[in-house]
Parts: sequence; structure tokens; C-alpha cells
Amino acid sequence: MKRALTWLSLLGVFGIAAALWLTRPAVVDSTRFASLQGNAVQGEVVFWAGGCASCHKAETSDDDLALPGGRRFVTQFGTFAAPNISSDPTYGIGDWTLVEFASALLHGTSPEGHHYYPAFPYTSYARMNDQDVVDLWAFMQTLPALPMASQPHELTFPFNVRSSLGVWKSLFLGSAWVRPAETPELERGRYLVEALGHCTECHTPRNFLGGSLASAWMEGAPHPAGKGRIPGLVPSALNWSVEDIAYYLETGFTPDFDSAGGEMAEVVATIGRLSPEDRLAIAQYIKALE
Amino acid sequence: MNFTKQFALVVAALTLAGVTLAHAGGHDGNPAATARQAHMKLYAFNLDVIGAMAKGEVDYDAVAAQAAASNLLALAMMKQNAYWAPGTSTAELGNATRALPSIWEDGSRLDDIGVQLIEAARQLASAAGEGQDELRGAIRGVGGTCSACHRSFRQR
Repeated sequence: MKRALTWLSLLGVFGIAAALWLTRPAVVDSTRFASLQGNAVQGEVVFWAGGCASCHKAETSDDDLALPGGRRFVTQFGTFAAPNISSDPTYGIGDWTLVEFASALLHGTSPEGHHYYPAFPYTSYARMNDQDVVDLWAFMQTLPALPMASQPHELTFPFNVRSSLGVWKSLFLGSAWVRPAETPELERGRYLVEALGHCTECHTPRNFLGGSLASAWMEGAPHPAGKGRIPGLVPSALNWSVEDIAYYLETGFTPDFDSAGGEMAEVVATIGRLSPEDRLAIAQYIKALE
Repeated sequence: MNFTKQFALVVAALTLAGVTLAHAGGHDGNPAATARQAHMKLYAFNLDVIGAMAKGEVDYDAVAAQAAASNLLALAMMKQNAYWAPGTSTAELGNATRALPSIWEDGSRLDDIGVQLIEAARQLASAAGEGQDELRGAIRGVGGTCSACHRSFRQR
């Protein structure tokens, strides 16, 4: 009996070790971007479409190019604190390599080889194309260096066990597109919505593990902070015209001429800097959801 | 009592009743909150006029666009301190307002955003009569200040 128990617990330990090894943080291949040249001007477009500033700028700042972090995000799993992603080599990401940056965006893996929490929307950025990763990196390096230390997250057990995120990723992280895109405009719209814009991160409800509920994709969700509701974008929840959606993303004004508040105000502040064609592509793709 | 006098009395009584009713009606909610919401509705009405032109839903009309943009600037410049009165936030009025208590906290950026709105409305007012593209180009600045304030100070 005792021997059986010993074997069983050894097996358990071995099983956990195997699971951790199988779900260890992934990194991109070091030669993957060797043939690509970063373009900071193009990278700025990626930066605005990706909405980096919405989370990483300072709490009380209007400066979307200063990214010292510090904003706090209350969720059912605890409170996440956005880290410093300025170009400061000590406190920010100034001493990262392109490959480390790409591993963070595409696999949610830190330069130290840890899993990032999916409050960082690598679940969407995983769909980014390589040239955009390289261009974004070129642009990020032009941003000011800000020497503020990143604050720790405040999470409850078991969510504070980072290594368990490997299993989470195996369940919820993928780079496949959710919807087909029949035209070049819809394809661009899909890229902006599903990859860079990471719309689904807020507009789709999550299950008890924090994974996106595929069956209710873009149908709207309770606000993670507890109060209020994030509206759905599918046609049954949103009857705005393509032009209404594009105008809202440009100016923040709804068809009733109310204006965006809440987190969406931050989204308009960044998406509003894209070209009219890009905003129209987003609107067309949103309108094509079903 | 002659007829004229009787008529005057009736008119006076009806007027008084009307004034009383109107007065009571105006005090349905908190008067400061009601005034703020009315101010917002005037913004929205004028934004609707220029927004419909910017989107191409109606033909661009330089005179109407200019009038609406000038109204927005006039609204933005109004002295509103009396109806942004302390003690009229969600903490005191509950559902009668969405104005968060942080508006009245020390270091609130409300006044700064108000100044930015006036500047953005001024640019809109000078662009609105110049053409559809100029009009559309200037709306985002106004929208940005609306959202900046709502983001920080309006209950979700």
C-alpha cells in the first residue's frame, strides 16, 4: 500500500513536470526576422492600431507616446498593473532584442523566459505578421525612456502561479483567424480587429478561467471591473451603419451624438489616428460579423 | 367687477398656475444636474447637424455648418460653475446624475479639459464654413475633449 502511494505520488510529480515542460514558455526562432528591415514610420501605424498606449501610458496622462506603465486593471482574478514599456534600458524594454520583443508579442513570453498574463493581449497579437512586429519594434525604440519601476500584479491563488499559464495558453492561445475575409478590405479589417486592435479581448465574454468564450464571440461582456457592460459588436447587438462605426472610431461620437467614455475613449484616441481607409476597413469587418 | 377685470384675473390665475407647473416640472431632478444634462443635449443637437454633413448623410451646407459650430463654441464658453456645483455628484444624487465625485476632488483636470474644449471648438468654428473635409477634420478635436472628460468623470 505504502509503496503504491509512493509510486502514485512520483507519477503525479512526473506528470506535473511533464505538463510544465510541455507548456514551457515558447520563443520565436532567432533567425526568423533576419531578412526583415524595421521601418519606424510604418511602425507608428502598427503602434496606434495596437492600442499600446491605452494601457501603458501613465494614469493621469494625455501623452500617448510616454509609456511608463502603472495603470491598474481590476478583474475577477486580481489586479493587474501595466508595466513600463518605454525605451528605458533598466525599467522599460530598451535593452530587449527584436527576438525577445517578438516572443513577448506572439507567444506571451518574457525575456527571462516566463509566461506573461493574458491581460497583455498576446492572444490577439499572436496573429500579427512579421513585418509589423519588426516595424513596431523600430518605432518603440524611438519613444522616450522613462525611469519608473513596473509595479507587481496583485493576484489571488491559483492565478498567481505563473507556470500554470502554460496550460492556459495550450487551451486558449492560437493564431488562427476567427472569421473568413472575402475581400482585401475585409482582410485588412480582420487584421485590425482580430490581431492589432484586439477588440475581442473586451467585447467577448470570458469563461471562469479567463479564456475567451468562442461561442459568444463579440457578443458583449460584463465589465471585468464589476460594474457596467461592454456592448456587443455582432449585428444583433449593434445596428450602426458602416459609416456610423467609422465616424465613431474617428471622433468618439455615437449616432446619437453621445460621446465615448470609459475604456473606449482610449481606443478612439489611438484608432482615430489611423487612416480613414483603415477605420473604414474595421467598420466593414465589424458590419460583416454574424 | 367688469368683464375686462374678470378676464385679467383669469389670465393671471392661469399664468400663475402655468408658471407653478413649469417650475415644479423643472425641479423633477436636481436643478444643477438637469441643467448640465440640458447643456449636453444642446451640444449633441449641434454635433448632429455637423456630423450628418461630415458623414455625408446630408449635403454640406456652409451656413448651417457654421451656425452649428458657432453654437458649440458659444456653449463651450458658457460659465457653467453654478451647475457644476459641489454636492451634486453620483455620491449625493445617485441615479439622477452620472457626474463622478472625482470632478470636485483636488487636482481634477476638469478645468483643463474645459479649456481644451474651447480651443477645439474655436478651430471647428473656423473650419466649419470652409468645406466638408475641413469640417470633418476639425470634429475629432472636439470629440477628443468630450471623451477625455467622459473617460475620467462620467460613470460608466
